[in-house]
Amino acid sequence: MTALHLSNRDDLRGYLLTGPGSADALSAAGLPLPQAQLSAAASAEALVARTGSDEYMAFIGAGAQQPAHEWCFPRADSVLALKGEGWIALMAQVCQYDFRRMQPGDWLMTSVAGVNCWLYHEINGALLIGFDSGYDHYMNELFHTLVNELGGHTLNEGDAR
Amino acid sequence: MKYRLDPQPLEWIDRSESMSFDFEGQRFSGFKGDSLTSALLAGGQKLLGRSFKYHRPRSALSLANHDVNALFQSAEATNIRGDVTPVSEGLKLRACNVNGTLANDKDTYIGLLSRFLPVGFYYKAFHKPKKFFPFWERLIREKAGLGEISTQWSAIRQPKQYGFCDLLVIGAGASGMQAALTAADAGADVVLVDENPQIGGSLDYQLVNESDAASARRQLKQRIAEHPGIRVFTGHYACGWYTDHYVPLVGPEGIIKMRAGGVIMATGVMEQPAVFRNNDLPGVMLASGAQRLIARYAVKPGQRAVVLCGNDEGYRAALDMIEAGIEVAAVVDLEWLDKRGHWAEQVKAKGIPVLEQSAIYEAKGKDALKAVVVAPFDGRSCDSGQGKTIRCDLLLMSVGWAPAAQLLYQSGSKLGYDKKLQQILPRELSPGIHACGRLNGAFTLEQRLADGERAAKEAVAQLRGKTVETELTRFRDDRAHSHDWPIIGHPKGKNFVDYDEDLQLKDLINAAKEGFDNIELMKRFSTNGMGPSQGKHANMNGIRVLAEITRKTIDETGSTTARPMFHPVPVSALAGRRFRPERLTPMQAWHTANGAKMMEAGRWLRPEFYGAPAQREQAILQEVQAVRSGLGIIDVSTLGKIEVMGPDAGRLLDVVYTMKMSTIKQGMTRYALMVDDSGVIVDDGIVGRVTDDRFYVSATTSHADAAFRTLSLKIQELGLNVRLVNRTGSLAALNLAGPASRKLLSTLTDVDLSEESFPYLGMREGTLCGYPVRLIRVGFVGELGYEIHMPATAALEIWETLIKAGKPYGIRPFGVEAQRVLRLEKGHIIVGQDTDGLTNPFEANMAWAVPLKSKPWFTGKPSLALLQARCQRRLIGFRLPKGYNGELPKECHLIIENGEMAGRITSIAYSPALGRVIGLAMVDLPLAESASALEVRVDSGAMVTLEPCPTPFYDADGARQTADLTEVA
Repeated sequence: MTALHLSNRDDLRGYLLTGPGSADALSAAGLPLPQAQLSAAASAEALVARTGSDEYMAFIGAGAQQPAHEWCFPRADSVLALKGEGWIALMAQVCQYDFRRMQPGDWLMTSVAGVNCWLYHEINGALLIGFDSGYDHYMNELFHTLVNELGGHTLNEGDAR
Repeated sequence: MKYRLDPQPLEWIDRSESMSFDFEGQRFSGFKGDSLTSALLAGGQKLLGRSFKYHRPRSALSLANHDVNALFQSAEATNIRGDVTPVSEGLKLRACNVNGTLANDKDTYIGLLSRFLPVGFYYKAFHKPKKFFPFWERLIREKAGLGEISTQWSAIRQPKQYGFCDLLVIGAGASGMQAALTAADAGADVVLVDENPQIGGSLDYQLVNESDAASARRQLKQRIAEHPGIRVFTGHYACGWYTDHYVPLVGPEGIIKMRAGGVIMATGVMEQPAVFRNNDLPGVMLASGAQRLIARYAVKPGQRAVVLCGNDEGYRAALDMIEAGIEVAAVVDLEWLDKRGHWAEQVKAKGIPVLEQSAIYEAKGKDALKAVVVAPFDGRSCDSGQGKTIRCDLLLMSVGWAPAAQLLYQSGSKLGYDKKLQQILPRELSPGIHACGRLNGAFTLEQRLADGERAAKEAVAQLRGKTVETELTRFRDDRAHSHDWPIIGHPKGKNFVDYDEDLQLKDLINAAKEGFDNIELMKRFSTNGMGPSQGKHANMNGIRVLAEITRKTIDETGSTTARPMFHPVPVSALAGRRFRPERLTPMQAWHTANGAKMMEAGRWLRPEFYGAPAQREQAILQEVQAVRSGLGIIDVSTLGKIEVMGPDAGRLLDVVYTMKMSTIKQGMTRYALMVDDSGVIVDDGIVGRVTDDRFYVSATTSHADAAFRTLSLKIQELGLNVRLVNRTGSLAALNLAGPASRKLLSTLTDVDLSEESFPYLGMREGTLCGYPVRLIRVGFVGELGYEIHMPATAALEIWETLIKAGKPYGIRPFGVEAQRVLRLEKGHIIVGQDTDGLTNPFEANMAWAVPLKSKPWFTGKPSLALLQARCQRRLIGFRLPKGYNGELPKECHLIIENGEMAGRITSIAYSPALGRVIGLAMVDLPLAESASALEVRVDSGAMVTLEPCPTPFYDADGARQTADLTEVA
C-alpha cells in the first residue's frame, strides 16, 4: 500500500497525427500502434492513443523518435501522474467515470473537474491525466489540494464491503 | 438526566462518553450518540420550540427527522433539527422562531388572534390602503420564517463524490436488509443506504422487545456486515430520484452522487398524527416517536401515558411503555378490540383499560399535556357529551401510516389507495424501480422479509436483462394498519393538520369552501405540506379532509407532487467543491509581473489593461495612443485556432461560413462570419489558405470550442473528407500593431514583409526568433499589424524578444480595453457585445458578408434570405459633441423615442483619435434610417442626445492598415 502521490510528467512531448498515413508514420518511428479506436498502446518511451479512424495522439519520452508526417502537430499538454492508495477516491471527487472499472492499459477521454482530459492507466499503476497546458495552474492547484486533503483517506464506500 | 432509563438492548448512546451543551442559557448533558432532543428530554426539558404562526409550545413528535417544531439555532447554523442532530461538546443553542426566550415568547399573543387570521388571510389583507402596505410588509417579514441566518457566516463547501453500484437499496429496515442480502448473494454489487446512524429500521425500535425478531435482526445485521457485495451507507438519505437511477445520497460529509443499475425502495412508512383539539401539546407524540426515544436513547417520554390506537402497532407501543416503566392509564381504540391481534391481548392481560370505539376529543394543558378527554367515536365524530377526562402527561398516537413514497413518485411509478390496508401503495413501478416492505404494504416481519427477497430477485433478474413479472401484492398484509378518518372536529379548533404551518382542520375546510377544492390548489392556498417537513405528517390527513369535503375517493382526490429534494439539503452540500477552470496563456506570468489587471474572458484570463487600477482610464488611453502612434503588442492567444485539412476542406468552410472560402488564394485570408441556422451571428474570425487542401481558421475567444464543434458536426452530417485539429491550446498568438510593426518585425523574421510580397490580409509561414510561426496581416485595430501565431512553448520568449526589440519604437503592451477602443474607432463589431442572441448580419450592417445571390448554399442562408426583407433594427454609429462633460451614457443604456424603447447602446468609449466619445447602438429601423438625433436615458434618468454618424469613425479608407505608415506619416 503506497501513499497517494502526484507528480508532473514534463518528460513527455505530445503530437497529434491525423489523416492517411498517420499509422505508418508511427510505425516508422518505432512507436506502438493501438488497434482499437479510443484505446492506447504503450512502450517504455512512448504512449500512443488512437483517437479516431486515422487520428492518433502520441506522447514520447526523450529516447523515442519523433513521428514525421504531413499532418503531425505538436501538442502542448500538461500531464499529471497520480499514484498510490486512494487515487480512485480522489478521482471520484472530480470525474463522473467509475474508475473502479478502469484497468491498467485503459485509455479514456472525459471531463475532469470541468476540463477536457485524456486519462491513461499505466501498467505500473499510475493514472496519467493529460490536459491543455493553459489549465496547468488550475489543475495542479486542485490536484495538490485534493492529494493533501485525501492523503491516507479512501473513498467513502460505506461501512462494509 | 432524570428521564434517562437503564440501558436498553439496542440503544445508540455510548454511556462512557458524556457531553455538555447549552440550550437557552441552561446547561444540559447527554451521551455520545444522543440527539439534541433526546438529551434535552432526558434532562427534563420538555418544551423544545414554538410553532411557526401562533408560537404555541411544541416538543418532540417523531424523532424521525421530521420534528420541525424542535428547530435550534447556533452561532453558525440555523434550523438545526434537534430530533436527529447529535449532541456535541460545548454547543450553544437556542430555539428558533421565538421572540424573547423559549419559555417567555412575546409572540404567544398571536395565538389569541388566530380567529382573525384565517386561512389565506395574507392573500386578502394588507392591500388597501396601499400606503400602509410597506408597514405590513415589514411586520410580516419580521414575523415570518424560522431560524435567523447569520450574515457573518463562514463559507462551508462539502466536496461531492460520484458513486456506482448495480443495485441501490434505500432503507435498511427488515425488508431493505433482506433485499440487499438476497441481491448481493446473487452477485450484485449492492449499496444499502439509510438515513439513520445504524441499520435496523423499525426492527430496532418497534420490535425491539419482540423475542421472535431478535434472531432475524442478529442474522441480517451480521450477514450484511460480513458480505463483500454490500456497501452500507448509514447517516445518508436519498434526497431525490433522477433519470437513469441517479440518486444523490446526502451524508454528514456531503453528497455522494450514486448511479445505480436499479433501485429497491424499502423506505418504509411515516407514522401519521391524529387530528384533535390541542394535538400539538408537548407530551402528545407519535407512538413510534416514543418507541424511538426509548429504544435508541433510553429516554422516558413521560410518566403516565394514554395510547390512541387505530391499529395493532399502538398496542405494541403500549407494551413498550410498560416495559420502560411508564404507567399506561388507558388504551383508546378507534375501533373494536376484537379487530386487534395478540399485542392487544397482551395489553388486556396486563389489566390496562381499553376504551373501544373511542377517540381523543381534546388534549388539555397549557404548556404541556396534563390530561385527555376521551369520548365515544362513531368512525367520523365524537360524542363530546360523554367525554371522560384521563390524567396523563404522555399521549401516544398510533392511528396509521403514510408511505415514504416520495422517491417512488419521482421515479414516475404509479401509486393508488388500497382500501383494505387504508394506505397508498405502489401499483405500477417504473423500469428498474422496485418496492418492498411496509412501503409496499408488507407489515409483519415475515411479510417484510419475504417481500424484500422478492423485490431483490426481481431486481437482479431485471439487471441481467430478464423479463420478470412483478409480484407487488404477493406478500402484502390483508389487514388495515391505518384508520381512514383519525380526525376529530372541535368547535374551538386548535386541531392541527399541519404542525409546520399551524394549519387547523377548519383552515382546510374553509379553503375548500372558498373554491380551492383541488389538492394542489388547497396546498398552495392553505400552505398545507409546504413547511420544512414537506407534508410528511400533513399530506395524508389533508387528502382525507379534502376527499371528505368533496365526497371523492382518495384516488380521485389525488396527492400533491413530490418533487426532489425529498428532504432539505444543506447549501454547503449542494455547493460542493468549487470547480472553476481558469485558463492561462503562456504569457500570463509576464502580464502579472508587468502590472496587468486581469479580466475573465470566458475561461481565459486576459490583461484588461496594464497599470494601477486607479489609473485605469489613463492607462487605456496611453495604450491606444501607443498603437496609433508607435507600436503596441497584445496577447491574443485566446483566439480559437483550427487547422482544416483534406480534399473537402474548402467545401466544409463554404458551408459553415457565409462567404465563399474555397476561392481564397493560397497565402491569403478572408473575413469569416458564422451564423446559425436561424441566421443569427454566432462567431467571426478569419480563414486563411495554407495549401490547396489546407486552411487555417481563427475563431473568437468565447466561441472557439463551439466553432470546432460546428465544423466537426458538418463533417459528419455531410460525410466530408476533412480532418480538423484544434490548436487553440498548443499555439499562442499575439498581435503586433502600429506604424512601426513592420520595421520591428523585419529584423527578427525570415519572412519577406514588403507590401508586394506580403499584402494586407496575407498569411505567411516562416520563422521568428528561430521558431516556426504563421504571420497574418490583419487590421482589427486599424493599424498596420501582424498577428503572429507560434508554438505555445515558444510564445513567452518571442513576446519578450519583441518587447525588448520594440523599445526604440515605444512599444507598449495593450489590453482588451484598449483593443475595444481601437476597433470601435474602426467601427468593427465584437460578436456578443454589439450583437445579441437575435442579431443577423443585416442588422449588424454586414450585408456585404452575406452573398445570397452568388453562393448556392451556406448555413443560415434560407433564414437570411427571409430576414433580408424583415430587418427591424440596425447597428449605427453615434458620437457626443466634442468637449462633452455631462453624464456619460453606458453600454446597454436605452435609446428612447417618444417615451418608448427604440434601441440600446452596444459599445461606447472615448476616442483619443477623434477627441470625443463615440459608440455603436442597435436602433429600431425607422429611427436608424431617419438620421435624427438619438436620445439615451442614462443612470440618473436624464436624457442625453447622441448624434448619429457614419462608421468607421477613424481612417475610413483603411490607409493606415494597408500602407507602410512610417513612410506616409
